Amino acid sequence: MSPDREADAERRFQRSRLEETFRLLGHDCPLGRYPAPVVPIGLLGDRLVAVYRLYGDSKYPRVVGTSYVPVAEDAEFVHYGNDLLTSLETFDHVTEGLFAESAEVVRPYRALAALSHTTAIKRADPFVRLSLAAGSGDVSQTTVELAACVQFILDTEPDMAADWYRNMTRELLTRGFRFPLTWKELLNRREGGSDLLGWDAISQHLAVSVDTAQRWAAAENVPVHGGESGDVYCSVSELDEWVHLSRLGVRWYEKDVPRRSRRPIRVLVGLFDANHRSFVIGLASAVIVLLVSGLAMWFGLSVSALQLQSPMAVNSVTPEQATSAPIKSHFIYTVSIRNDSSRAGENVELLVQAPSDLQLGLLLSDVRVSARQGDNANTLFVRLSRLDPGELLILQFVATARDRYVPQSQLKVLEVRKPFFGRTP
Amino acid sequence: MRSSLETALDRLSSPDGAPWPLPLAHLSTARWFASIAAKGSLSPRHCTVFNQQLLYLSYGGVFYRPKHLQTEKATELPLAFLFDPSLLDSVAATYPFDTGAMANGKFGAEWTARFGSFRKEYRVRPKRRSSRVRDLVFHMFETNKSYLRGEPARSCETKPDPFPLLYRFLAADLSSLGVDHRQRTIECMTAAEVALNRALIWIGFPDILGADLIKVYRWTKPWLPEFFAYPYHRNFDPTEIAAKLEHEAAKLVDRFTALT
Repeated sequence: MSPDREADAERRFQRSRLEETFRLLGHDCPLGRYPAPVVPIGLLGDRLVAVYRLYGDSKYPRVVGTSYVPVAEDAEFVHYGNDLLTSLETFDHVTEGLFAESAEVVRPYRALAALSHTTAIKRADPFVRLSLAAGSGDVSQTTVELAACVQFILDTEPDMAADWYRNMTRELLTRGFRFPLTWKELLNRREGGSDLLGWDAISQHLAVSVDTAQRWAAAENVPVHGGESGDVYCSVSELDEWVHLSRLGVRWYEKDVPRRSRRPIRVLVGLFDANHRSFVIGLASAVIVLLVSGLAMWFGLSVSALQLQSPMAVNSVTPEQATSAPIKSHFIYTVSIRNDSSRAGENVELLVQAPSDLQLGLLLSDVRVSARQGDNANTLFVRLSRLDPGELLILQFVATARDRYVPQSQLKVLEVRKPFFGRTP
Repeated sequence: MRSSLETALDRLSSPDGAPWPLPLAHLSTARWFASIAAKGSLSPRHCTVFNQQLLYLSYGGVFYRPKHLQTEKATELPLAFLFDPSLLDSVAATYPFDTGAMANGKFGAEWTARFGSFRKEYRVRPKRRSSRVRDLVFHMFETNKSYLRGEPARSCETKPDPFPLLYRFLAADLSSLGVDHRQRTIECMTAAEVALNRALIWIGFPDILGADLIKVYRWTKPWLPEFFAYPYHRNFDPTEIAAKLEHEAAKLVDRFTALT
């Protein structure tokens, strides 16, 4: 069918759909496994359609519409038998969804929260339960399931827990949920971890006056909760984490620094706000950090200065995010390599090393470049398959720091192995 | 045999300031996530346009094109992978538009006729094992940002054939046919498997499939790719979800376009 005729048919279909009655025939499970909410499939007039319920953007879901999307006449889906169709006779496709424990066991539901009590969900993996809890907008249930997911990850791949938690809570934050900074704090709370209640306790923990603590809370985003209608509170580990990040130059100046010296530090901190990022990029791009010495001319291969392009350039954060989660900071380094000889260089190898607490990766490269991790996460073997005479090749590395900002980190090319000039025999 | 586009690229000098290479995206469907995660790679599938096993990658981001999700199933949920530009060395051929849409006449009768032999005439293969996609972006759009916005450079009109025709095609308003610039973005294809431990930097998937991310991590560790776990059950409509995925992936691609 031509695009014009297709569009015309679609318009006629949308006009007629309001006058037609939907008849349920079965469902399709686009996830490919159960248990899961599924998509009702049926006839609208004589057209086979999938029914999508549309929700508003609020954290608490509310159906705002129904969409009928035509599917191919020969499309595959689960066809219901007479018994199942009879049991779903009262199913209202406009206000209800379908939840399938299996292809044969299907029930209607109005709210996702109602599903959490079903046996199938209780037996499902924690990510299924987290999905449904978050989808229902239930904060306490979502917290419980988030902790269950963390525990599941700790039991299977513990090294990914921190990254997963950071990424997942950032995503949940966009849906209106707020969770502790770290998975440790989340589990600590589940196990009854302690909070600091009231300004006296918070200021004592910070070793400052109540006035100062309140001023910091207003201006420096101390992670204090509550207030207005109730007492303020703050978790010990959350506060310690904030102190830790702030000491590293995020949003805080040290208590024992004389007042006169505070101002420059605060200005510097301000540069790293999202609003000032472009200025930082411009400033940092101008700063060339010469790290390679004695390698300027080596077997005709010139390795130029490393350029600190821009700390924070690849990980934009808002001040709110900076205090809601420890940020994984990325630093981009550019290495320029030029072949100053008159022959092609082949199989050039570089050993690149970042400070020991950074993880190093190849961010951008020419297609002739391959890299493999060294013995440690902070080292990288980089191999250039070919470098033509006079050619300048630019490599970019990304160094990742966990839970801290490192404005002055350095990347070192430790070694440039002798390249083979000319064709490989 | 060289294509017309390859010949034209050869006649033009390789620019010194070609835009940085951008990430490559692959769009799949959620029901394949478990098997992809278990296998640790993306596999080529039979392509009816070229009648061979191919894996499609879109250059510069996740661009939802309905054909990506058209399967024999009644419904699908999108699953998106973003790889860093080093994957370009696996790309066997590049086309400056969605070949599926072109083959199926989605661009309208006029353009379909003009690009009748697009399979041979608009193919760009690597030169000396080096992808030429950056040159292609430069000669058609000049910058990555213009490319991602779908704004061809006027200078494209004055370049050797078939660049002038490409310019008119890229600049044409095809919205009445339901076509926007996303279907005129660069398409890369490979006949090889693409391992997840190679260059995966981002995944978008339904949040309910979080357990499969752990399987992915087993291939990529010690790195966990960034991810966007979307709440699919609020809106199953793949078009709406794909738009969200496009938006989220674009945030990551922006990090690359910001590099100069």
